[in-house]
Amino acid sequence: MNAAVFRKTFGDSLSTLGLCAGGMVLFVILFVWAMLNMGTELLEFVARFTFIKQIFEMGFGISVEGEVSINMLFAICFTHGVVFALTWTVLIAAATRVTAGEVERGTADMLLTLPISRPSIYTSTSLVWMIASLVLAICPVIGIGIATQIFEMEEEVRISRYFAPAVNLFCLNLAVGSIAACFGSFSNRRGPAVGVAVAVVITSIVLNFLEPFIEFISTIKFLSLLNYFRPTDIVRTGEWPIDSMLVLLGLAAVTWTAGLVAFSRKDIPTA
Amino acid sequence: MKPIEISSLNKSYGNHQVLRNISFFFEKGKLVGFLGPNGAGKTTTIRILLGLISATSGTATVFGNDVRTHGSRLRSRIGYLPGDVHLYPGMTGRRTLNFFANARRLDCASEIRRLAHVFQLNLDKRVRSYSTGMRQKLGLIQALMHRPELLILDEPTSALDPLIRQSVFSELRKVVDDGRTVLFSSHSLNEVEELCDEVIILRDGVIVEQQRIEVLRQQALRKVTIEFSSPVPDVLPDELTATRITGASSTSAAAKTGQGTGSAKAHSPVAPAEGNVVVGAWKGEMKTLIDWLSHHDVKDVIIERPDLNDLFIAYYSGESGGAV
Repeated sequence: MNAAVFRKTFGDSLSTLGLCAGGMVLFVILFVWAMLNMGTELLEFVARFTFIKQIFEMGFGISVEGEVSINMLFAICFTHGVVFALTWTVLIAAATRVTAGEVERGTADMLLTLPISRPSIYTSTSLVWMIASLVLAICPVIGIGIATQIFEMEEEVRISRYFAPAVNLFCLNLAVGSIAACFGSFSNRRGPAVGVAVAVVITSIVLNFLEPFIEFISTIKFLSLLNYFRPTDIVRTGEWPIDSMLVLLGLAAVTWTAGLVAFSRKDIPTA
Repeated sequence: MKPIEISSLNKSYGNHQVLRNISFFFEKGKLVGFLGPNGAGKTTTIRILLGLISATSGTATVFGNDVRTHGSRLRSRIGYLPGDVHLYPGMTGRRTLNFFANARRLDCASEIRRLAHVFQLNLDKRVRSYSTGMRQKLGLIQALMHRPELLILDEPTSALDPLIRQSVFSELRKVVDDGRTVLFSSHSLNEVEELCDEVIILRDGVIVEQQRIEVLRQQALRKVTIEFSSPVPDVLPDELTATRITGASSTSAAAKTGQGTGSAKAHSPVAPAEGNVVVGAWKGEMKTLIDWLSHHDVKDVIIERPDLNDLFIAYYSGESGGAV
């Protein structure tokens, strides 16, 4: 690893990471406030419409007619669109910044003629988005933690129950970052690399969304990244989703390594 | 150990072959000009040498080591300036150079200060506010600051004003005086002529010449203007390619063929014309020309050394790629 490349890449990503992390914490605080004030009404409303109920139950893993704890309601924030959007924006931007972005901008000529091996550059820049993955996975826990200090809770909220979803989210983030880094290594333009990575996560969301309505989807839902991230189930059972985390980590390892090999061997065209 | 040695190097993009079996090397302590028109393959060769792209076949070694397998270690001994300098726009010049120095794990502060003074570059401005010339200066400082054993510069002075260009030349001469080596790609023939010891000429992916500049000039054609007291002789030597015949009275040059005088074999390459002055190009030994002239009634002779422009055009205009 090269410290200078790491510091530079981290510096380039820091403002976006800071803004998105801060925004996410703020959003989770507001989400907790909303759940405290409207959670019960929301569940009653959802229960009235079969269509929405199915989406809700499949999307968040909560049976609206069963007993729903406040802990489970708060866990919904882990799979909220805002959290995913903020997380994936940072990760995909950071993971493609060097592998495709520097090539597209023409700065790769200078960077790759330094006495640093390409695997070292790839590792140094990967470390940046991996740190970002961790920070962004912790943000919902921090948000819930702050909210429990600000707002009065009707029942006990145990922050430790959110550690497992946070670790699971971290694994999901690693998978998304690795996929983006991999496509970035295969492409010399950042746009297509970002496009393919976004397409992968959007496909995951769509598969998740369609599962209650199209029977066939259940046979291929294993292809969806979100199939391996069910935070409300984790909070309800209190069990660590080891299998899901291993699948996500395995996917991350394979795509990250494929990206490393591709980046090490690729021809760098003139900008 | 030779700073650069290339052997049977080929590079193709699909069906388009950019480099065709090129081979060359040069010794340490030389300032070598790398000449060729756009698309000749200069930048491709340089990028292979730096490990940015891989060759289709053949070998490229730097200091005796393969660039693909020993790339990062070799690059610590190389300074490189790309033809089109792209740097990080949000950084200041100083931060940019500090980043490159830190990435090399070197302290280049004093050399950065010295070079910034020599090239008159304000390092406290952001790169996005730099002009093309300023970016080129920054790129040059980046290439020179760690005192590399081999400098590879792809058109390093294209955006510089004449004064700074002289400063760059002076720095490059210092580099060579230190026993280090420079490969200098350029379109400006005058600056290669002024600066370089040796020149490699590339055309359509083929090396058409590698030679010391002085030798190249001596081997190549001379511009000659011969004024005869009488009409231009019927027969001109093979070595003389007459481009025009002027003057008062003459017989048709088209008829001047067949029997040479002295050691020169005769021919008739000129278009029909009349006069007593022949202007043309001489390719061959001077002794042969002088012998031939001694057999004729010559009033005046002007023999001019070609400048590099003439050589360049000669190399690039010919079908075969050789000097005409």
